[in-house]
Amino acid sequence: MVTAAVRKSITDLTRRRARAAFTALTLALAVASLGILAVPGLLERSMQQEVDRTLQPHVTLSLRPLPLSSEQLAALRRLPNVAAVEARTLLATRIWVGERREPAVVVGVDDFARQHADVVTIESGRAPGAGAVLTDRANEGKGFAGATARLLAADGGVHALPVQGVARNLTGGEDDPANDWVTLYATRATVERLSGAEGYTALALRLHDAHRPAAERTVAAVRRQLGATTAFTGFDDLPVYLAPGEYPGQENLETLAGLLNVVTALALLSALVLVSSTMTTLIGEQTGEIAAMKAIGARRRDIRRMYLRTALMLGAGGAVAGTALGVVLANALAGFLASLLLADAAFGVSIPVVALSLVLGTLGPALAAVPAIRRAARLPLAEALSAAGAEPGGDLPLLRRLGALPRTAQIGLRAIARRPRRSLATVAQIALAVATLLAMLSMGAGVATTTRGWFDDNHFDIWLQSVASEPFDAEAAATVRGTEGVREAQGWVQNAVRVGDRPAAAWGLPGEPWFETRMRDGRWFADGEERVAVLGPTLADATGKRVGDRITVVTSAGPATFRVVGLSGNQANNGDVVFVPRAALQSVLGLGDAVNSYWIRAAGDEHGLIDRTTTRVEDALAASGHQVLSTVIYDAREQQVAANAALTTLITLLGLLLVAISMVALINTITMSVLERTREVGMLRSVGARARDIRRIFGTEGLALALVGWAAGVPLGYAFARAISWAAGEAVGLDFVFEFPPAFIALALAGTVVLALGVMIAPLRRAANLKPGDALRHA
Amino acid sequence: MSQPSMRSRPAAAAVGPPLIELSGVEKTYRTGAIAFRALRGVDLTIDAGDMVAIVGPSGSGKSTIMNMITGIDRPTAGTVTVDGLRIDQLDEDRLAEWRGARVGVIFQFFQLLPTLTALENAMLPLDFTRRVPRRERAAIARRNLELVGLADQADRLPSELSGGQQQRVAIARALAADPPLLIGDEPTGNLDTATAAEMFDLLARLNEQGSTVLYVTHDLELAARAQRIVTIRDGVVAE
Repeated sequence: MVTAAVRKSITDLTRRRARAAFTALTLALAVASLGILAVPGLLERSMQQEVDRTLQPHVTLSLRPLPLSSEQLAALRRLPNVAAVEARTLLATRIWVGERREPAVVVGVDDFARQHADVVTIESGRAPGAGAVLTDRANEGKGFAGATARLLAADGGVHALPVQGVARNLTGGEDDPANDWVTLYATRATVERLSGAEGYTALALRLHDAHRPAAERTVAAVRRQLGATTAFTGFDDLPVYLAPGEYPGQENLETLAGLLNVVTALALLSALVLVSSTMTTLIGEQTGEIAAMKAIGARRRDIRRMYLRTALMLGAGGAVAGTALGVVLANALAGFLASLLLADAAFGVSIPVVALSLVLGTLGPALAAVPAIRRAARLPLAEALSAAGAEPGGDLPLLRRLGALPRTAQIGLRAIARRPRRSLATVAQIALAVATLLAMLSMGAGVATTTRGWFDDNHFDIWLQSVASEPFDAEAAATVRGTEGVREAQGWVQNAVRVGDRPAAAWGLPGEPWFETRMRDGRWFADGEERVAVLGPTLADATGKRVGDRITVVTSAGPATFRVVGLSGNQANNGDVVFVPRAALQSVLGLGDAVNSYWIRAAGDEHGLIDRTTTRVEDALAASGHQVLSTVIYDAREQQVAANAALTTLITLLGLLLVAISMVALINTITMSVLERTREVGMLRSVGARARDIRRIFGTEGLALALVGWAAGVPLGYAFARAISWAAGEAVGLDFVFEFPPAFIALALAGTVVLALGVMIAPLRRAANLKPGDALRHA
Repeated sequence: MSQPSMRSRPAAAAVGPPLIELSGVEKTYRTGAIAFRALRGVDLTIDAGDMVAIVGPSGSGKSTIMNMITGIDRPTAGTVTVDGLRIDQLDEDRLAEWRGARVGVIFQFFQLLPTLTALENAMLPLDFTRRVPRRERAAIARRNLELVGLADQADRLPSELSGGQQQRVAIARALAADPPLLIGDEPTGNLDTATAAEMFDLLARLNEQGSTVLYVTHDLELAARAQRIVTIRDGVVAE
């Protein structure tokens, strides 16, 4: 048998069922957002399962086409620490998607039934036979499945290959908006026939000990073994390592998860403010009851216990529902993020996050209610006994000077001062959400402008890169320069390098490269200089190197030391780049006069001419055995702008969602106002107020709160945007352009007003539909 | 200073149809599974210019009758005709407009808006009915405040006024639209004896000037000052 005090705690919730349910629902949503904290863990677990299932390689080595016999491969498998070796042949080419040509890579697999690492999983159809291919899951929508893929072969011929199914590969389908590769899978023989070259271009190694020192020793052993038994001259690029616990694409997803955590924190903060205001209202309504209980002997601690119990029950309801919802949310998010990496996420429950959700969801409301409970316990008896109806509240002189406004608007505006704390909390919540929206928009725009800026820094039309084949020699240079539509071409060398532990790129460029060098300090180098370097902004910040310092760069051919003569602001390779004289890098890599990249200026600006020139150069180089990846700058810029627009739209929607969540506070405030002032509504109806007058009174109150929240959110948003721009720049090493245009402020205003009007429909209808008699009898 | 228009209205003669006619009015309130019959078939007519007191024990249905006449509540059965209009057939908004223009309601607990000044409270019905140009509303409200003796308190908030003063503001508000019918639900029930008497004098004066006045009261002494007393017992008229 429960005590009367416990019964009261329960009935305090059941007497206003709708409000209790509403508050618990809000709390549940906030607690559910805690589920986001579980996303990195769930993702990690799913990706680890995927890594294990698909036998992800601990080391991937790039080769120029190198024939290896089964004995030579077996010898590699016998090397110490090597658990498995999978050799692959890649062909970079072009594919027709409708009438357009897009870059494509065909992955040649020795035996689909016996893959030792980097498994290509067949999802539908069957393993491709000779002259057939499988399409990657990421190509969905391009119309390949069950159709024919038209591919450009190295000899310039076009091959129509039947697509026999859909496959996926953890790294194969990774999508880069600027280089939208179409990935296909075929047998090695098919790839070799298309490329006209024999041999493997990649070795995927599974290791017994995948830690970095052991992995590096194994790579050295592979290098020695290949050098001793084959025509191997060196790796084409630095080895790619995957340490234990890592998975491809991890860094990007963790950044995204970090952003989601910020959303979680804001949602939780919002909910606690909401619970606090709800408890304040609940206690405020019961002033008379508190007085009566005190009058018959209730002590302060009895009052405290009673309402703490109510808050705990409210919290427990929200916590249980929210935790269940959080598990669903976390799995949905983890599934979505895993799908970006073309992996499947298994359902999982994070026990620590579930425990945190339950504890925080239950105790949070009790803590948030403490100020209101303390006030209730200390309420002087005489004052409490004489309390009746809604508090007149504070009088803001400013609000009394609103004579020009309609009476309904005046009543609505002055009501804001009646519950100053609740009004302030509502304004604070909306301001916080508006500020977050503005900061997110600013960040999106900054990224877009920064990216556009990089493209605009380039003074060429086409970028050609050699892929998995011999560098461009003098003959290739003559082919490029002699192609119809090419006005001039600048050859240069690029290589993936390491500076300390940091992966970076080395660009061997001429004295007058065709891009803006954006020197911040020191100077650019001249042709003929040796072993001097200019550092990109990110690399300079990360290494702390300044003009005059020396820097050691580890290339695929070994380490080389350069003297820093300048610091550049150019954002090539996200600023993680060391620019060195072309001849110096050619010398380090042993390339002689060869280059592996060309910047091409077309004979005109017309896009059709640039497209035709690109096709001709690709075909001409393919005919001489060169696999190339071409980037048409205007096209890549447009794609990047489109990708940024999509990102900005996503950010805007996410931000507006935050504003929508904050609007729950507004719903609560207006609902509470209607509840508290029900008798006033009755009186107003009695003296002639129509339904629309009542709607205007409460609508003005809500809209004014939303507008004040927006106004407060603008300067706060500016501060947030500045902080995020700085922090993001620090995190990824980019100098973001700061953007905070008035259009964002207007967008936030429009969003705030539309959402405020939308969420107030229900409480306003409730107020307008009150029958005067019922309203006047309302206790 | 010019006088409120009510003062110039001639006293209505008790000829022609009654101002208020309740016929077979029943009202049942439902709370969950429990039904309470507040009125059990009330037939009542009140002529224009009357001053009528409605008396009866607690829970007898006095306030419910007032709510029927003002359209604040609707009858479960029967008809309510006021000033020739079947108000039980009007929708809520038309009822509100009608009340704003034709009825002045005075509540026991004043029911002033705490954020509006006395003057603004006294203007409210004019703001809602919009029958008077905006620039004239303050002048009318001020004259009504003067009539109830509160001209010097016009800019004060209700919380700055005494109970008696608040009820005077409520009367000034009831007079705003110059309604032919004034209805008070225990209008002096929350005032001390002296203030209550003062208020009653005011209502009586308004009746002398032509207004039909109906009021519910527990105070038999005050009820005796009406021209007619209607007694309600167990939801029926026991006159």
